[in-house]
Amino acid sequence: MHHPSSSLFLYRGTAFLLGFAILAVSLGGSFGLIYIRDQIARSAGSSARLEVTLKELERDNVRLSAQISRAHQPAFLQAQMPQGMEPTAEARVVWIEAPRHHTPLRGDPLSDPMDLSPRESPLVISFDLALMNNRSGQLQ
Amino acid sequence: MNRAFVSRFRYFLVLIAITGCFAALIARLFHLHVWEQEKLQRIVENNRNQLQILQGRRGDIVDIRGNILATTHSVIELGVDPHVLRPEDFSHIPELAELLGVSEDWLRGRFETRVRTVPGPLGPELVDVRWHRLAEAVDEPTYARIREMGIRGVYGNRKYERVYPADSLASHVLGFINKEHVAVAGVERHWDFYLRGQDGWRRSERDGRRRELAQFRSREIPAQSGYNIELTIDWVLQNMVEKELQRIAAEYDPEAAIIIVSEPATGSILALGNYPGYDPNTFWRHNVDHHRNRAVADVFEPGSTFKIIPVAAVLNEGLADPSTLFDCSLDVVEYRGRNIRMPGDVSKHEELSVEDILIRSSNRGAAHLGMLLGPEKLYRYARDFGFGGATGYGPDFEVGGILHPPSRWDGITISRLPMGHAVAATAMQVHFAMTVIANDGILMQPRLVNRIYDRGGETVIHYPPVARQRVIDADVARTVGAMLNKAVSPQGTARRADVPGFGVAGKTGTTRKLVDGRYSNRQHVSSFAGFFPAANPRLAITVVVDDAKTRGTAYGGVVAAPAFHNVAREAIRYLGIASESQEESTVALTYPQ
Repeated sequence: MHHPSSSLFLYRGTAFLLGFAILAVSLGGSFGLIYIRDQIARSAGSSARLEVTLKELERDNVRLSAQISRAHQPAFLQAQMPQGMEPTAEARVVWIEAPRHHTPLRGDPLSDPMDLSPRESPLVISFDLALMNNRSGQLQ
Repeated sequence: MNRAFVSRFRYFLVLIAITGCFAALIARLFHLHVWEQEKLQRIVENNRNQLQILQGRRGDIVDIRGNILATTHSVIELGVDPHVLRPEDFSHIPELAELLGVSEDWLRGRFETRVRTVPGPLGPELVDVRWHRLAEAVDEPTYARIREMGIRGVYGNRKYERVYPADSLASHVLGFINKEHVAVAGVERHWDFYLRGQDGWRRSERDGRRRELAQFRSREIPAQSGYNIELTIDWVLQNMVEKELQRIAAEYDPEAAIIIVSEPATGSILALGNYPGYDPNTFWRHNVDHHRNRAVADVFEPGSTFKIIPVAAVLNEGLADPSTLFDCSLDVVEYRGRNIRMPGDVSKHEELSVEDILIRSSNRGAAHLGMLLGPEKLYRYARDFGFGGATGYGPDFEVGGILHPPSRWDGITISRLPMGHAVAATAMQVHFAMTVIANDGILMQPRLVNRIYDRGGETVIHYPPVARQRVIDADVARTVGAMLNKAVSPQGTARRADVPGFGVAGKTGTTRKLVDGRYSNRQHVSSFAGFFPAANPRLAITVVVDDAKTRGTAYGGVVAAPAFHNVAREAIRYLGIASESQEESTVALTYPQ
């Protein structure tokens, strides 16, 4: 049989431990909450910064696309390129056998002239001939 | 503490004072938290909460090969808050003035003006100026350099600006966006619904320095960029056309000139140019009159280019064949019991076949054909060829021209309409009437947009070619095409349009302009509409020159036909169009010499 004073010591110890545990959980929880909120704020801030960076890149992309487009326009190329640009001379054109699907636009007596679907635009078989060569004939 | 040392009065005095202070504090708290809660909460929320508008970017307009013709990029509207400037910021004025392209004095004035006078209820009042605009649109690299200077109080607000990288190229097709961001004309206006995108918004909170607290973002509707539009225009061909227009302008100083290039089989418009032109980037610097797309907005009497209609109609109706002869020497012809004075020809003709009427462009011959058809059939064919109604081009305010029904004709219209008088048409109508011949007798709808696609390149809407109607039989169309091929021969009126080896077919037109209600002898509208190769048409080109300044009459064969020739020759090389002698199954490649 235990002496009553030893139980009292146990109760006090348990109470102290419980109190400490409550304090530790409260403090830990509070700091944990603050830490989580801080991390959320950091993540959100980081996302916002990435978003801004992305937007800046998009803006640069658009600006560069416009600049490239401006530099590629035929009038600019003809005027600004060091040696000038000119349309391809007829002597530089060679003719090759076309793939099967490049059929003439008309001439098939069986086709319905109102049915345009099988016809392909002549643009499909065209090439950027005019701006491929400069006056000296060297590729840019 | 020993109570013996504390006065009872002082004790209660201090007690009451402390209690009173606490009571006042509680009262104030009650006032703030209960009495004025709503108002204060609203103020706090207004200060903390923010609603950001996220602007949707307008879509691009590109040509058939993906070259950007119109795009939207961000620029910065730059300003200064003079109240936050530091003394050392004034040392940056010379550098900033140079970057902005303004004078130092003007910039210093802006930096130093902190107040301005405004009218108030009790007279003029002085108010603080917190924003002076320094530049309307600064580009990003320039803004980055300005930020590097570290001038406190100089900052900018981003906004979108529409830019046209190809400057004036295809400006009449594209239209433009005005300063209020309203699409005014062209593709910009007609397809504005797809291009403009949709703004979004974001609700979040901000700190005391007005910086966004991203973690408190509560709701966000992202902005949707507008769709992109791919035109059928090819900017290399467009450049050829505009170069030719410049040549015409330099040589003839016309009031206006139009060139249209299209693909007869699909109705796709590959190039459409107007003179005078304008740069949509600086539209406000150009005469408003230059903004108009004359190809669909201005009408003129088509003249001899209209003769393809009576010729095709009589052949289609079986009323005559190409060799049927008509007496073109008669000055007066009896028609339905009335004597009709026949129109004159440039040179006297005797008997002409239907083919020769077209090749030699005989007005009297055309009048004979019109009378052979009768008013109803002539009118119906003219309508079927697209005259008297809009072509369906789409953008811009297209006019349908003038083609009166027979009930409103006077006595001589039956002899004048076949030669292209008593009718007013747009260049687009004349062009598509010619493509009926090139396209086996089928009238196509002008096709300007190939597709609408999203940011990922996925097609949202595809615009396939649209055939409006069959106008004449395919055989008749080919017969007329062969006649038009001869009109470009040395015997015809349009020999200057010929491109040897490529079977050009076409028709010239020359009409006197109506000036002050009378036909002028000095001012003409010269035109040429044609296509090539005649056996397998790839391109149709129409040239209209309004009031070319020449020594004599500005004939279509002299003014417009050479422009057709020049554009056709360049287009042949560019598109790799095979000559008639080459196999149809071959395609062109090029190599450097």
